[in-house]
Amino acid sequence: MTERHDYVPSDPGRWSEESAEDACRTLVHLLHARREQWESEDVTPDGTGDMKRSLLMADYASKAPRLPEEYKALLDRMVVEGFLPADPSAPLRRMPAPVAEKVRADVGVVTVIREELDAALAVFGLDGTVFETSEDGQRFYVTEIANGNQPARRLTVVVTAAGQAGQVRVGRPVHALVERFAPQAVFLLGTAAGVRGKVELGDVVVSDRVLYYEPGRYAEPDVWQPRPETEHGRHPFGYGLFYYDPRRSDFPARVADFVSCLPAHLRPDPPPPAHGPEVHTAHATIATGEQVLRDGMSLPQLRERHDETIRAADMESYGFVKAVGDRRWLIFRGISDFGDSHQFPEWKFLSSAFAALCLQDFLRTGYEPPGMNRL
Amino acid sequence: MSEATVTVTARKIAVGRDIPEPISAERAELYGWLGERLAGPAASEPSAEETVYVTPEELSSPAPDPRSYLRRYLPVGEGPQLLIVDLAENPYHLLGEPLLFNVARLTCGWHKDAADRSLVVLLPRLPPDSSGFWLELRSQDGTAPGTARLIVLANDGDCEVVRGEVPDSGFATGYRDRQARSEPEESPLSAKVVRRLGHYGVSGHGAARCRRYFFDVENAVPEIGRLADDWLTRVIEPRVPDRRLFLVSRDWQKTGLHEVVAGLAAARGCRFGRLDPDGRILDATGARQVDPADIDETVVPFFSVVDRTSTYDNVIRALRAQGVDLAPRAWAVMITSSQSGLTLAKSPVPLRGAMVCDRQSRPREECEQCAIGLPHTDPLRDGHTLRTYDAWDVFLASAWRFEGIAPPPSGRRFLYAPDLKEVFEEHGGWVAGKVMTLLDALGFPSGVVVICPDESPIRLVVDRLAALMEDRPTVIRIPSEVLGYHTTLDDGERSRHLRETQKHLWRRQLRHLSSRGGKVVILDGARVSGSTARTMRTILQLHHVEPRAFIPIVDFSEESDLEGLPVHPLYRIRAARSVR
Repeated sequence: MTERHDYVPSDPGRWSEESAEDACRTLVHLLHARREQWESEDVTPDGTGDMKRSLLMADYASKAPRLPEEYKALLDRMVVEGFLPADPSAPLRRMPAPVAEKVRADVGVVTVIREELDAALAVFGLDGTVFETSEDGQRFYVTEIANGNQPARRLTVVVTAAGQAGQVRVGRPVHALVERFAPQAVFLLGTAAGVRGKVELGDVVVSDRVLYYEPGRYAEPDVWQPRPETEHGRHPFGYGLFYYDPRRSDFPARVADFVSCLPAHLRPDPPPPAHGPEVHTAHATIATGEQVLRDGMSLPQLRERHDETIRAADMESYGFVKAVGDRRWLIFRGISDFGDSHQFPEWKFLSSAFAALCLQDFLRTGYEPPGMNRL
Repeated sequence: MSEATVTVTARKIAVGRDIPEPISAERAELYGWLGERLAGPAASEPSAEETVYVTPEELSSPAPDPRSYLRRYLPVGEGPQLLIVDLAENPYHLLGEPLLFNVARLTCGWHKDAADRSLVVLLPRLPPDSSGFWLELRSQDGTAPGTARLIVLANDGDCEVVRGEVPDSGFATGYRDRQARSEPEESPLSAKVVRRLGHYGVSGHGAARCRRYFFDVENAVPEIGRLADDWLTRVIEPRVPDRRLFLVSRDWQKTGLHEVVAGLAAARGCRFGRLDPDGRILDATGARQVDPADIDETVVPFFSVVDRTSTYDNVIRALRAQGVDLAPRAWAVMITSSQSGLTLAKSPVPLRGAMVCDRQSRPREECEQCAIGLPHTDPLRDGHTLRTYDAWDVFLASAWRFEGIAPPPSGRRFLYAPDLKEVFEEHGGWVAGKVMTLLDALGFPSGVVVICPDESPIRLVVDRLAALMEDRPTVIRIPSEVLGYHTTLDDGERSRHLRETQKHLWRRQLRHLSSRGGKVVILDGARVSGSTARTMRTILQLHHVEPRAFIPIVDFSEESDLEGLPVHPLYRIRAARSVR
């Protein structure tokens, strides 16, 4: 027979910051159980007892607002009872337990095609054979990542793939991700066609601005009046994107490491510059529609017609943003072609990987999770 | 005519550092001893003020060129000289072949420039024969006339005389003993083992119980390896004449001990296996049982932690029942009951514990944390923040004293606060482990520069942090009186004070830091009014050093940042305004 530890993780494989419920329950308990330290004048003639109790109360007062209303009322009452004379015959009192709702993931990552998923798994160090699966076979790969703005708790990241391109088709997998993991933020990750002259192969466009260029009407036969729709992120600073600067992190080194580990036939030629792929975060709009752009004309025309800040085009961003709903979102796109007949199949995986490395770097160094810097 | 004085100069090179650091008194004494033994009574007092540092960036360049950081520190002038180049306190793996080669080239150049220049190079261990270090050194052999010496010494007393007279027979062992004496006195293992507070549930011996502590040995793997190796060499190998050993290890969930023992086995060319909880011998991966009939070597068991005599006895009984030839002794990293330690030392296969410490447990119905309803703590994972129970249990158990550290102008200070010195004396390793976890989460796993007040409470934490991080964090201690001056003086007086302290070590360190950049964090025991932290930041700004974060162990402030600088406390009580 051997001895074993009885730790039962509420969320397997993850270290969790202490909950407000556990913290407040502890403080209320100590206010009762250690009362001899402040109630006996013999013990604390110099007033240290009062200071101990005051600090305990202050600690409780700062943490209790994070409690569910009903539970807070219960503990508040117990705090007040702490000022009543103690019953020496009372046994060690068990504290009431709360029922707390747990968020299962902090960040969801949605890819579309297989190369994008493979790149995300490789970059996030995920084992492709370990996943949760939905009834219809959608796979969810779970990992953790440290976040410099909230070092107390690592972010739980879930990666999934939509499987099929298109605005409509991306909706259901995103919905499944949100239903299952309730992530606070969802990021779309993959490749896009870039605007030649504005971006290079392998560059990464990070955006919270989407222009859906498909809507419009035929005012007359052959007279098409475009009525594009736009979506903007709701946060003025893009949850840290505004301040994010990959040149100040080890992003270039990570890209170089990643490339050096690739088999020779997957390595880009020429290799990415020493400072890493260019990451476009400012004034970068993603045009999105239902069409594969390969004529070399449509993408420049979209810029001229609608918005000069368009840097890239894809086929999922608008459907993604609609499916995400009120949650936080951003789009990370690696440039794999220029919307013309010249295709670069080897860049599908590579540019997805660069976008994934950029997302990983952003999560580590720039992303501001809700409630950061609060204990 | 009197003999000419030999000028002794010591240059201690610290790799992976961003600023110079002072030379310890023990080290200076060692240099004095070397000077005396090699140059005789004519040796001068060694000159060695602070370290010559090599930054992580310089280290990671393809061919680190020591000219930039060492050449200007080489002694100049006429007359007999002895130069001691001290690399001995760096981890050997950090030195690397290019650095060793270049140090050899540069110092040899100095050595051969005059016939009366002797050179001693101190290394953690001697490089292999194929190293370019030797190539460079031996190329100098015989090229310079005179009686100068060129000697290379390793920490274990290995001595290579490349040129000149061979020192007397006691020299190498004398150096080894003195070198060991200049290392920290504390046992290398106990400085690295972290006693973590928490709520650890255990079962398996009748009633389920709870423990308050968990001993984390994760950072002590190199020390465990050295201790186990030493025990194997001194205790087991002389008792097993044919020295055919099968080393087996038993660890709980973690793999640290398995890796250590597998390394020992590989170094000896013998087999390694794992022990399962029932005493069965598995292969090296733990996936398959090894048929005892196939084991004709002597089986040597290693354990990570042994709590109870009965557990150990059961494993030994099971091993014997398999019919294997068992070594006459066994070894454990830790025995967590001094009572059991005594019994185990007298058992039929006496168990030797590298550490023995008491870790009491109590039934769950008597456990205060169970009464509160706190979940059990994960022994394998730990974050940087303190649990409320742990923080308050420690605070309430300490003496509270008048809070006199915070400078007065703000008027915001407590009458009394927990005595952090007492807290850190008792739990410094645990707190330092938390700080290390935080630095890791912030992306500063190594090469970080810690700025802190030179005060006894936080010094206790910083010392433990240095031990845990293999001496990697560079520490700049700002004297308390300096912090006081900066809080109370007007601008003119402050400038005058800064001029007066130009040559102080902390000023020189900050000046180096400003030219180097680097990852800098401010660390302090507590923030109450925040004036100490603000003052430290102001001083850093005066030196153009921008810290990345402020880490107070306990933060009583209402503010979440420090004038825009992120603040990451280990425990926060927002009380500075509400409690006086």
